Amino acid sequence: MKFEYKIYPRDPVPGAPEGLIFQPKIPITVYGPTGKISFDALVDTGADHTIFPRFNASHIGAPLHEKNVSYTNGIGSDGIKSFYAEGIELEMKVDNEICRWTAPVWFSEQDDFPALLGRKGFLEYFTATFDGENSILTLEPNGNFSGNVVNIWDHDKIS
Amino acid sequence: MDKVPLVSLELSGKWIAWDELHTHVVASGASLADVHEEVEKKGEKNVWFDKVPSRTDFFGGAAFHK
Repeated sequence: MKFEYKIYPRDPVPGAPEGLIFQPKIPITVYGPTGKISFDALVDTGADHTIFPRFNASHIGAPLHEKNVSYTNGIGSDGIKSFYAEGIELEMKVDNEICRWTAPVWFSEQDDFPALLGRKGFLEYFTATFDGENSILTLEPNGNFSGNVVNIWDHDKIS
Repeated sequence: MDKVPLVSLELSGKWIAWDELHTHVVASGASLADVHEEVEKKGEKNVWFDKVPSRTDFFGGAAFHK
């Protein structure tokens, strides 16, 4: 599955005079017990886990319990409370393929950061190739992946 | 793979909602909740929420400690 990097404008600065930001973001849909919400989520090899803004949790009916609290650093300030939620499914679709799996994900107490796809819940399931020359991210399900990859044209279940 | 159009610089730092095909921005705002509300009011379906990077600051990544 190939995804072009998203490109955003920014003010030119020394070291980055082109005034553009290239981010490996992919469209991903988050499914909870009562709904779904879709994001352009940043694939972040520096992130330990997959984490979404808390707003999502209420929208999709994900139960957040104090017993599942941990803390996440580096998304705006130190030690932001985040809630682990069970039973969440993630789905990505590109061209004629849909990839869907159940993932351990967290919801942050704050909302002001992009949805982040880190190692736990995302990168652990894929072999990722970041083609910096062509700004293309390639993701292939690996041996850890236990979800489904479906071809939407012939409806054959591939794995 | 379809190329997503470049957003305007005025949307930097904001939450936005793309239409289903990622062809145009249907809502924008300071918070995800605001944008979601606008999307609901407009009756838009199957949107993609996106946080546009700041026009002035770099995003240091999730492992970056402030």
